[in-house]
Amino acid sequence: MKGRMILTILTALVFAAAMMMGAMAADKKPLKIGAIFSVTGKASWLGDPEKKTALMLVEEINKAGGVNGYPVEVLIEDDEGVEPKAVNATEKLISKENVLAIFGPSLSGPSMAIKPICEKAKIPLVSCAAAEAIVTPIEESHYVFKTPQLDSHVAVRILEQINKMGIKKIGLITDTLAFGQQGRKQLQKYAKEMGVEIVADETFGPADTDMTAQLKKIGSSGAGAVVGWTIVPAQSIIPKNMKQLGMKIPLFLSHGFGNPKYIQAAGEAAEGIIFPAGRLLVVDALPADNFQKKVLSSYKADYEKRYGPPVSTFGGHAYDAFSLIVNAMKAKKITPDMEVAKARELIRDGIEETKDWIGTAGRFNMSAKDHTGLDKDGSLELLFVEKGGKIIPLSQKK
Amino acid sequence: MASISDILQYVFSGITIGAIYAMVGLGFTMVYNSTSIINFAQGEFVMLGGLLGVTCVGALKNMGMPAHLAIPVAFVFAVGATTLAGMLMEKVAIEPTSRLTVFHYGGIAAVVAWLSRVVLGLSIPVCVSATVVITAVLYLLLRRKTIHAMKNPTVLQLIIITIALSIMVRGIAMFTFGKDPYFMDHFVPEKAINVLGATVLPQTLLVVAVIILVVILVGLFFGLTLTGKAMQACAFNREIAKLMGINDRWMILLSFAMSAAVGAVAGYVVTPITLMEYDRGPMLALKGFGAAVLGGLGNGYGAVAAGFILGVLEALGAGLISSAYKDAISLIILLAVLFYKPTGLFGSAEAAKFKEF
Repeated sequence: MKGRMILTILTALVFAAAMMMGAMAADKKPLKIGAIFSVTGKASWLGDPEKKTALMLVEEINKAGGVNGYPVEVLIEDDEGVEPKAVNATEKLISKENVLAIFGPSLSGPSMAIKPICEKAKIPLVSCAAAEAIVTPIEESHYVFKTPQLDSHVAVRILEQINKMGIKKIGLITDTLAFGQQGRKQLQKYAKEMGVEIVADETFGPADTDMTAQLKKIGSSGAGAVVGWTIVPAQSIIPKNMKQLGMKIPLFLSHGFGNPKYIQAAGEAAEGIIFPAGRLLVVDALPADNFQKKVLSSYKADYEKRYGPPVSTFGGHAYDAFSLIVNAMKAKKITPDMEVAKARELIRDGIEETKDWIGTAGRFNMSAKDHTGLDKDGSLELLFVEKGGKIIPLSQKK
Repeated sequence: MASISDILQYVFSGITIGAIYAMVGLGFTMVYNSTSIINFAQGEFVMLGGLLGVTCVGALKNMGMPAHLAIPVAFVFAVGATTLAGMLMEKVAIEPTSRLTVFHYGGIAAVVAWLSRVVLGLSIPVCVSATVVITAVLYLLLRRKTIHAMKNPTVLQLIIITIALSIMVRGIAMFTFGKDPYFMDHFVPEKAINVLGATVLPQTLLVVAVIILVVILVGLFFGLTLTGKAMQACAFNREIAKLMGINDRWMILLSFAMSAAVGAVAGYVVTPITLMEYDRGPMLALKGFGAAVLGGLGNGYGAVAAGFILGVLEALGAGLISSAYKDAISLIILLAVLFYKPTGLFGSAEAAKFKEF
C-alpha cells in the first residue's frame, strides 16, 4: 500500500519533470540578462516593484517576438539589500550564467560593491540605485551606467526652491544608509555654493520609530526649513513627528519619497511636503504635450493592470535600465551565438550611444562623459502633496 | 544650549522608543524564566500582532463597523492569533518528541493551505482539497515513523531553533502581507499634548498605560495564582518542580503563549506610532534583548525598566550629543553596565548561578 503510493508519486514527478524539460527544449536559445534586486530584506519596497517590472517587460517583449528574433531571459537574483549577497550574485551571473548584461542592484551600497567586479569582467551594468558615485569618476565607470536621477540634480533642485522661497537656514535629517549619506554630502556641498546655511545636521537609523529628538533639535536651531534625504519607510514618521511638535516650517524630501504608500502612511501630516522626483507619480496631471506623457501613462497602465496600484517610481528605474539594455541589443544586432565577451562590449557601446531616448526618469542622452544621461530640469519635477494626500506638480499649486 | 523643553522632548521621545523595547524585553524574560531559552522569535510576535491588527481593523471597517468597536475586536483577534502561533511554535519545534503529533500535522496543513492560497493563489476549494490530500498522504506515510528529533536538546540548540523559526515566520509574513509598511489610525485623537513646551502624543500615553497594565497583570498572575507560582517553580528548578507534580510541559507552553500575547499586545498598540512592516522583528528583538540583559535576565520588572532606560538614553544621546551615534551610545552604556555588574541592573547573582546561560 505504502510502496505503491510512493511509486505513484515518483512517477508523477518524473512525468512533470519530463514535460518541463520538453517545454524548455522547444524554445530557441535565449539572450540572457542578469538582474539583481533587493527583493527581500530592508529595501524590498524598492526591489519588489523592480522585479515585477522586469518580469512584466520580459513577458511583453517575448510575446512580441523577442529581440532580434530571439527570446530574452532575465535571471533575477535577490541581494536582500546587503553587499556580500550582491557580490555573490554578480559572480554567479557573470561566470556561471554567462549573462550579457546586468541591471540593478536596487541600493547604492550593493551597486558600489559590484561595480569593480563588472569593470573587471567587462560586463555592462545598469544600476537602479541613485548615488552619483556609482558612475563617477567616469574613468572607473567604463561599463557602469545608472538610470535614477543624479543626487546632485536633486540637491540643486531642492536648494533652488529654498532660495526661491527666501529661506536662508535649513536643518538636515538624513538616514545612516549610503543613500542618505551621499545625499547629505551633496546638500552640504551645494548649500555652500548656493548661499544656504545648514544650521542642524541630524541622522537617524533605518529602523528608527521616533524622530522627535532630532526634529526638536532642528526646530531649536532656527532653521527655516527641514530637508530630509532618505529612502526608508521611516520617512513617513518625519512629517508626523513635525506635526506633533507643532513645527510649521516647510519640509523638503528627496526623490526617495516617491512611493505613494509613504504618503498614505504619513496621512494628513504629509500635506505641504515638497520633493523633486520623476514625473511618474503625477502622470495624470501632466499636460498632454509633455514629452514623457506617453511613456509614463503606458507603463503605469500596464503595471497597475497586472499588479494593481499604486505604481512606484522605483519600478520605473528598472524599466529604464532594462529598456536601455534591450535597445542596445537591438541596435547592435546581438544574438545568443555571438561570442559573450564581444556581445558584452557591443552592448556597452550601444548603451553609451543612447541618444534622445525617453524613459520614465526623463530623456536619456548618454555619452562617454556621462553615464546617467539625464539633465536636471528634464528629469525632475518638483512635486507637492496637496490636501487629501494627492501629489501634484508644484507649478500647478493653487 | 539645550533648554528644559528640549530635554523634556528628548525624554518623551525616549519613552516612546523605550516602551516597545520594554514590552519585547518582558516577553524575552517570560520564556527565559520557564525554559532558559532566549526566544529570538520574540520580535516576530510584535510584528505579527501589529500586522494582523492593521489587517483586521481594515477588514472590520470595510464591513461597516465603527472604529471604537473595530479596535478592541481586532485587538482580541491579533493577540489571540499570535498567541496560538506562539503555542504552535512551542508544540512543533521546542517540545521533544519521537512521533509526529497532531500539532505537527496541523502545522503542515497550515503551511500547505497558506502556500496554495497566498503564494500560488489557487481557488479556495482547490486549496482545501490540496491541504486535506497532502496532509493525509503525509500522515499515512509517516504515522509509524519514529522521528529522530533531538531527544534531550540543549538550550543552545533550542535557541538556534528559535532563530530558524523567526526567519520562517518572517518569510510567511512577507508573502502574506507584502513588503510595504502598514499603518493604522491612532486609537485616541491624534492631538499632541503640550507639557512645558515639549509635546507628547496621547497614543504614547496609551502605550505606556498598556505596558503598566500588562506588568501589573503579569505580576498578579505570578504572585497570586497557583499556575503562576508553578511557573515560577519551574523557573527556579525544573527537575524538582516536576517531582512536586508540576506539569512542566504545560508551564513551558503557557510561557510561550504568554510571551507571544505580550509581544502581540505591544505590536498592536505601537503600530499607529511606529508603522509596521514584515521585517521589523529582528531589530526589535535585538533592542528588546538588550533591555532584558540590562535589566538582569529573568527579571520582568527589570526588563521593563531597562527598556525605558535604553530608550531615554538613546533619545538623549541623539539630542544632546549626536544622532549619528545614538545606537552606539546606548550600546556602550549597556556594555559598561555589564562589565561593572554582569547580572544586569536588577538581576541577582544567586539566581544567575542556577541558569545555564
